Amino acid sequence: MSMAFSEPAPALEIRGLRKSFARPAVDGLDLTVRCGELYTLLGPNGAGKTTTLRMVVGLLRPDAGSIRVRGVDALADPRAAKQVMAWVSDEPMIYDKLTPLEYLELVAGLWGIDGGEARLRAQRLLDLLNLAPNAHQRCESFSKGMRQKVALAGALVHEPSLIVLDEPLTGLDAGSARLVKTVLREHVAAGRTVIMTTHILEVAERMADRIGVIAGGRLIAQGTLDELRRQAGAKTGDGGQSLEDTLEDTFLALVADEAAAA
Amino acid sequence: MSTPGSIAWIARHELRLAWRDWLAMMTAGGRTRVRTLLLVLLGVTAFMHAIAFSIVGRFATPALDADKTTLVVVTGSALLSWSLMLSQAMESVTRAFYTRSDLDLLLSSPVPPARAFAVRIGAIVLSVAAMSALFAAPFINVLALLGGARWLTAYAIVAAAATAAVAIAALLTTALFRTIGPKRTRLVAQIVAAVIGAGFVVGLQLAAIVSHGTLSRLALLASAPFVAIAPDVGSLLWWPARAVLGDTVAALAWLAASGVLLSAAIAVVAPRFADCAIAAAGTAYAPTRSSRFVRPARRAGPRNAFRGGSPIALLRRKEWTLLLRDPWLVSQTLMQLLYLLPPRSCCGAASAARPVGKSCWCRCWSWRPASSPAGSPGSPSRARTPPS
Repeated sequence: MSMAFSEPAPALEIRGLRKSFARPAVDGLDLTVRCGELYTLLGPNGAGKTTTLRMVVGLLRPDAGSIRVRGVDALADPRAAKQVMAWVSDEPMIYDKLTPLEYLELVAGLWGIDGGEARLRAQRLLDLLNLAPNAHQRCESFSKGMRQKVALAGALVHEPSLIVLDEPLTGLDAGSARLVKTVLREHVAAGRTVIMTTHILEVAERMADRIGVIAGGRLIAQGTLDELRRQAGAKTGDGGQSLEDTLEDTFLALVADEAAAA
Repeated sequence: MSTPGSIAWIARHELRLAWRDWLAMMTAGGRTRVRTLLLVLLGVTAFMHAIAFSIVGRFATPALDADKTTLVVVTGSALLSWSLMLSQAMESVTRAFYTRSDLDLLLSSPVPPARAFAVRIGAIVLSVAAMSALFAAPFINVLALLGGARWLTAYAIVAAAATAAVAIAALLTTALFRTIGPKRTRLVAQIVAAVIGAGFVVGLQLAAIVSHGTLSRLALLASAPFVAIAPDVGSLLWWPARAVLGDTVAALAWLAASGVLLSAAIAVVAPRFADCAIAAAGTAYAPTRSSRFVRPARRAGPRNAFRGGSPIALLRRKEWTLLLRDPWLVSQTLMQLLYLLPPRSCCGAASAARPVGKSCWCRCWSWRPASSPAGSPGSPSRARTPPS
């Protein structure tokens, strides 16, 4: 007998994902991100975080494995998957010769939103991100923080159900970082999903609903901070880490083997 | 108004960017300099037309006799220009695959990559045609003014030549992707572009020097033995030349044929654009051959390290190291040398020919503005290098 109310499809479901360059960058990764959560990917440099995310958004072709975005096979039907996703890289490309308003209208247009609606959404986002005074100023004179905010606005303008961000807070001042965190949390509170990588462990600790730790191209641990602490304790054999342990302690304990192997 | 995400909509976006980039480049960002720019452009245009008048003014007869020699010389000159167009087109098409810039945004959006590619190819056609028209326009205008409007068909030939060059460049680059893979295509495409661009020009010039002792390529083309082996005046081979000389039917035929060729190229290449661009992106993550040499070099000790010497010597060593570790930069540099060698050597051999050599030198460099190593988009290590 079939269930009357089936579980909603996960926001992202990755199975057996592999990608090799000279050596395996992603090595049989399995990962599931639920709808409506903020999921943070942590890992040492070269762990395969960015490669994974670039495969998810269709900017790299996996060697093997499957990627499903809200139930849609992203490799078989990339257009349908891209329609509900947004991507912000660690060094987002903003057209220097466009104003933020024009940039947001352009991005909205790429997702098929018509001009009037695009302008309304763009203005709302510029207000939200404190960019309204610069709305008609070309981006060429913007600081890195302002560019990051414009890129984030670009990711939000078509109201995607899944936002994928690579190091979104790097280079932001404290005020901008707090604003971006607030916007992302609000996005999640509205039932949407955010996946982000970060090297700032404090960000993961405070923001993430769940944290995934990647090392050597594989997911070596996943869960809430408390769950990660327990996994780290089991790994080190001390029967569970102290609840006072920071994510930094936990993270270093989890990736100790991979660090030693490297 | 165009539908968001359509070809027309993307084209409008590209045109807006291109216009703003060009204006910023010409005015150095100063809006008050637009008037100065206009005055300078007017001055340069007048100067170019004066030069064109002095060179071709006497040929602008209303009824130019299209004898065999004329057809050979015009065809040869057109082929020279076209080989440079093809070279420029190959570089632009390769850059369309390898330069990331906004490809992340376009390829992560639901817009079909084929549309973005079609627009990019159209933009390359426009830029190649514009660059060629810039040099050809004064000559065409002078001829049209003195010899009649029929000379204006030459503009159609410039457009047709640019269109055909970009179509062939797109097909060649994609064929390279499929045969030798994305890792090697960038380098090989660069070399092929150099060989196409320089090979014909340099070859013809060397032949002229060897057989006639002159730098003039036209001397070889107009020579009796060369004309004797050329096909008869009725041959289809002379249609481009006839079009340049004012044959409207020939001009329209070439324009239509090049349009069909470009459409076919877009139809073949566009569906593969995303695959090629994504494969090219993948090469950015893979370690390069040069980076594998880093460890042995480090093991080799102080000989290869940046130790000792004056700051100038260190900077020089750094430049050489970067150059040697990026084959694409090496190919660019060698290509510049290839362009420079014949005129330089000839200038050294015959001091009387020095002005001609200098003009060749200027022309070669003016045709290859994007391949300057320090300014090329694919060479971040050099581009970020502070001036030494």
